[in-house]
Amino acid sequence: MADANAAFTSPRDRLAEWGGTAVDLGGAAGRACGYVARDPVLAIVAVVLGLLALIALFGPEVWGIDPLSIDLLVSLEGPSWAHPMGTDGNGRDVFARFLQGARISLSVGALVVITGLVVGGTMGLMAGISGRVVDNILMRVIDALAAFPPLILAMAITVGLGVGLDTGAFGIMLTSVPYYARLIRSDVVRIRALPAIEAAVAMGASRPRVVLRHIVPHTTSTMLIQSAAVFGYAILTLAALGFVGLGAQIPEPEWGAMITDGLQYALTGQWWIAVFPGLGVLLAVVATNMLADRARDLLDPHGQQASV
Amino acid sequence: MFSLVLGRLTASVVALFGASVLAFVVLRVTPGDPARLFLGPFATEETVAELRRKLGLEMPLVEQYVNYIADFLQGDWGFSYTTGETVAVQLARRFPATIELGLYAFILAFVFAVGLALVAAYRRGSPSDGAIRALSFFGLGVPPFWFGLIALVVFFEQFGWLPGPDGRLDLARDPPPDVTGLFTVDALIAGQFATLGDALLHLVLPAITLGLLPFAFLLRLLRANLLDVSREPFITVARSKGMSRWGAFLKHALPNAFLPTLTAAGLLLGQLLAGSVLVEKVFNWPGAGLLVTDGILRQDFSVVQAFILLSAVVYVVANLIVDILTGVIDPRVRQPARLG
Amino acid sequence: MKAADSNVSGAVLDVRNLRAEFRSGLAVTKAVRGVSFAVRRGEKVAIVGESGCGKSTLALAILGLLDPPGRVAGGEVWLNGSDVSRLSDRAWGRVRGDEISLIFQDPMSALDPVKSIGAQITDTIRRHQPGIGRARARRRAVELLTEVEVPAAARRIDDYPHQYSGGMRQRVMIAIALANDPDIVIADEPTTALDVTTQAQVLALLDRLVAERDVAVALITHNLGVVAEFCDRVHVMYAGCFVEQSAVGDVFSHPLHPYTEALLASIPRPDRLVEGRLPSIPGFPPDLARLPPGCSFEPRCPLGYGREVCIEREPRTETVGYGARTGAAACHFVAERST
Repeated sequence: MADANAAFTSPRDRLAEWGGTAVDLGGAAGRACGYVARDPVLAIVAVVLGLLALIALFGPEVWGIDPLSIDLLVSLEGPSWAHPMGTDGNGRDVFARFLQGARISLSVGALVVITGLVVGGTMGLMAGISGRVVDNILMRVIDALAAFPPLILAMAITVGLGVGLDTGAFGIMLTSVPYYARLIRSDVVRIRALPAIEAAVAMGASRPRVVLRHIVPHTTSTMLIQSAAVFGYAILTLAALGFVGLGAQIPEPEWGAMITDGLQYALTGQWWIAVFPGLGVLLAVVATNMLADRARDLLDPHGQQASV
Repeated sequence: MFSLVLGRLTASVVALFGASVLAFVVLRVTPGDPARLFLGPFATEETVAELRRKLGLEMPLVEQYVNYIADFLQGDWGFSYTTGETVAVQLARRFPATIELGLYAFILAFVFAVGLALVAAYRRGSPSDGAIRALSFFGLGVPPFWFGLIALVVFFEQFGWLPGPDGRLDLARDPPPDVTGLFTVDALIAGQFATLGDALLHLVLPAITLGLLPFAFLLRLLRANLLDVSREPFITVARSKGMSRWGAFLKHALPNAFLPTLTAAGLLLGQLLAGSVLVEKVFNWPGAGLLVTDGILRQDFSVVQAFILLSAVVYVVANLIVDILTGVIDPRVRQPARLG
Repeated sequence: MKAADSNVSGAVLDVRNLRAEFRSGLAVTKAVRGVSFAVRRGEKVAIVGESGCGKSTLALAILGLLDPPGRVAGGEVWLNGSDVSRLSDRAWGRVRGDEISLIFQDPMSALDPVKSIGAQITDTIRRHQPGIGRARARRRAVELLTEVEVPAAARRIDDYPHQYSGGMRQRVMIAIALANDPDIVIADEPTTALDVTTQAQVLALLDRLVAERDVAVALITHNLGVVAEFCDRVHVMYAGCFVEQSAVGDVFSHPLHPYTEALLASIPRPDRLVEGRLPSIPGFPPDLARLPPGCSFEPRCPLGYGREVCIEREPRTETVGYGARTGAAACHFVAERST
């Protein structure tokens, strides 16, 4: 059945629709600023995350020192003005490595969130709106992925495909897919039963229209809230992979690998090599988790939406 | 009820099947030579070719898969060329250490999570609630291997209060006679109290480190569930009978909050499994996790492979048990409602 | 604490100028604003009002069950001659369930789903009769269940709440409330969540039990029909205050307060055909966080709307008595209306 609305929607109407959506988004952004202004903890978290984003984007270039350059003459020196986070066993500047590590971790985090959302979210959406057969098939695939504890799955990918930062990132992406898939699916199943959706269908909206314009918008707050948690989780897992040697390989300045590097020196007094990268992970993950929490308080105070 | 169990069982079997296919594809079929993977970079071409034949890597894929699964189910988990032992033997020897560590980590996590969640929910909104919530954020965000390191630096290197990363016991001490493989239990059985004390001391930092994430996870979940349940009318009814607020919390809110929390128990096991890989390395704890990380360092991936597949089995089974258990404990599921 | 002056003689419950409020941030919602009433032994009083007028908060406040962000802001509650309003939680533990008990509105969620019915009844028995022993407590529980007309009580005592229907669960609540022979029971909308047939049954049961044990009842409801059947006296509540207090017969025939009159007029009656629209009270109940200085009913009052005295001054409760009719109302024009 053709979309009953098509005959009546002129390009102008469509433009008006999208304009309306843009205004909605702008309004939401404005509200978000209002929330931040009123909640001091949220403000601190936002500042920390903003700073991290800034240093990830511009830090390495601004600081200037090459994170890979070796200078054995200055090896194992403590924090100083020249090297705010000291130097490691090969004389590399830890601060430069920290900045580069921030860039690596945050970009992998963002990548994992985006791919997880797109792939897992689509799978979940399909499963939620399709009949039992498609739903079952999709969910069994998801079950197979989810049968492994997440870190273990990432380890399997890196062992099978070869160790390194890119395979590690790919492995983590795979672990986020079942999470998003199940999340979106249960959300869609819940939304599908809402009277608003029944009304849209009763008014003659075609299926894709119902999905895109009515169901998906309801899932956005779930997706936002959970994405912050996934982001933090991705950073942690990347560091874990780097730590065991399956992710980024030394001398690449990934935070987890840096901690492994610093392990041998930590108990003999050169604490800075391992401590600073760990602090970086801690800060990034805690900040995103707190943001996710606050977002949940604001967007879904009664816990109606799915969470896995 | 029975159909519920059957349904879950089938789902688990299907999931395991899918997981095994995934593992097979990733670990055996992907570009790169599994034989080379097993033998390491220094083996000669002939040995690699011979292993390829032995492993049946020239056979059709489906046949390979069937053999792979058949071997796994029979306990043939591969051979470790760097140590000269089968993987099964190595894992069997190392597992008790991991189990002991995991057990204590779990106990610590559970006890503290329940206690603090109760306090936080009871005193909702107070500074203690805020502090407890902050603690849970910390536990969820700190990389466990980093935390273990810091703990070692502080408690071992700086203050010398606790033993360093030298394993389960002091180097000079002999382990107790082997009954369960858990040093604390065996020492207790044998009456070797000095050994018991030493083993416990060595467990403190690793157990806290491993248990930190499960603790934070449980704490958040339980606190949220307690808050939800405490809003239910039956709590006020209990108080109208004369129960104190704290009494109503303990006797009515907590049992009801436990049910939804139980479903996370499987997830918890997964966290402990993955965590042991990270934590054992920091403390040189001679368990399965250290075996895995050592294997990675030596490019000997046979152990890693077996551990991966085993983890999947344990994880799926644990989640299955938890699902069934949740159904059994909830009286609403156990005894369906009658009319009137 | 001893009773200082003589309270209303023979009163089981004597509430004096009770005030309760909710604080959220800077906003203070005054849910109960100076409520006073007394209930004698064996008396059945009704507290009537719309949703949101503060009835349930009043019940919780009387029992000391108001938890943060709510709090009792003033006034006293005297139970059996002792001041209970300042009791510690622990001391309240001896009083609640024993001298005074509560029947809740929603039988579906008023019982712990993971404990058996029997356990929840014996819990209150053993709490207030220490040393009674399990077997005796259990027998007593079965007796109680039989009294509240739960069929096959001895078998069904071990069932779980989800295995009982709504009406049966409410009977269990009544059993729990009456288990220790309290002096007064506060019933907060006990039949609202039930269908009409079950409502009638449960009310009849309550009526019988209360008469047998000479228990006082404070029935909170918005259903005037129930009030007519069941109660002796009525207190009408609006925006946190009692605006009228009369005997049941008088309230229906000669309401003193304009709000009561409007309430009665808005009840649809099958024997009286209505032309045009069904009468309802225009406007909405006031926001309890932002109350006007004068009479809180003035914006909707057919009598006082726009009148200066109603806008500026809050009316005091004036008692009127003429002939056999006594009552009280908080209205500037009570005297005129009662003649």
